[in-house]
Amino acid sequence: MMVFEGFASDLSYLCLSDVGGAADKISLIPQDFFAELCEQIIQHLNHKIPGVNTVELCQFVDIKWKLGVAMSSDTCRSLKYPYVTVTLKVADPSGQITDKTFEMTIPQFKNFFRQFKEMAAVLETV
Amino acid sequence: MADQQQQQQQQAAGAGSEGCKALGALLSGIAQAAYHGNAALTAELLRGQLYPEAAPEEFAALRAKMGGLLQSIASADMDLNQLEAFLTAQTKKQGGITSDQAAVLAKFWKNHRVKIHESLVNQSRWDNVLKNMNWRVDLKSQSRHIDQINTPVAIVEMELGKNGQESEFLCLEFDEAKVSQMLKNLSEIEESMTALTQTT
Repeated sequence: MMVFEGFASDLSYLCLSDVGGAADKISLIPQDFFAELCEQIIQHLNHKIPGVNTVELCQFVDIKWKLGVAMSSDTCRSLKYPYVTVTLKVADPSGQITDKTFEMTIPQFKNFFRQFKEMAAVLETV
Repeated sequence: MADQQQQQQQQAAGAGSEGCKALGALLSGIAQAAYHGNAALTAELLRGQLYPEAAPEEFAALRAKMGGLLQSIASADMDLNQLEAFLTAQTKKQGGITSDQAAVLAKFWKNHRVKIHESLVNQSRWDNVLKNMNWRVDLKSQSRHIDQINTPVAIVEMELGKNGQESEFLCLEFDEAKVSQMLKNLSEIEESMTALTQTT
C-alpha cells in the first residue's frame, strides 16, 4: 500500500501538471512498472467499491422452466397474464449445487432472451 | 340556500364541466390509493380539494359508490363493450349514476385501464422476480486446463428478489456452449409463448 501511495502521487503529478503531455509522460514509464501500478490501483479500487466483485461467481449448470397464466386473484377476477417461471441450477465455487427460481412476464422474458442472443454474438466475435 | 344546495348536488352528480372535472379527479384519487399505493390521499383531503361545499356524509357516499364501481370495472378488466353495457345498466337502476357520471367513468377507465391492470398484476407477483440483469464478456487467460486459455466467457449478474424486498445477486459464468444451451431452452419457451398467445 505504501508503494502504491508513492507511485500514485507520482502519477497524479505527472498527469495533472501537464494534461496535454500526460500520454508522453506515461510512455516514459517502463511498461512492466506501469502495469504493476495499474494492478495496484485496481486492487485499491476493489477494496473501496463493493459490488459485483464481492459476489461469488457461480457456474451455470442447467435450466428448467414452465409457462403459466395467472387467471384470477383476490384483488382481480380477470388477471389473465402469462408468465414464465425459470429455475436455474447453479454450482457455487465449492461445487455445491443450488436452485435459483424466479418469474418473468412476457416483456421481461423477451428482454432476457435478447440479452443472451447478444451475448452469443459477442462471444463469437471475441 | 336552496340554490347553493342544488348547485352542490349537481356538482356531486357530475353535472356541468366543473362536476365532471371534480369527478374525474376523485376517480384519480381513488385509483391512487387503491391501485398505486398512495395512502396520503385520504377521504378528507379529497373532499377538501374537490367537493369543499359538500357535507362529509354526502361525499363519503359518493366516494363509496364511485370506488365500488371502479373496483367492479377493474376486477373484470372490462373492455369497451363490457364497460358500455355495465355503465348503461348502472344509469338505469335505482340509486345508480347519471349519464354524465357514466361518461366520466368511461373516459377515466379508457385512460387508466392499462396502468391499473399492471398494478393489479404486480400485486399478485409475490414470488422471486428478475429485477435486473447485466453482463459482460471476459477473456479467461488462466486455467487449469490448457485448452481454456484465452476462452471468452460471459459473466452475467442477475438481481433477484420479491417485490419490495431486498435483492439477492446471482453471478453466473457462461462459456459459448452454455450460452447455446440457454438459447435452445429460451427458444422453446418462446415457441410455447407464441402458441399460448395465439390460442387465447
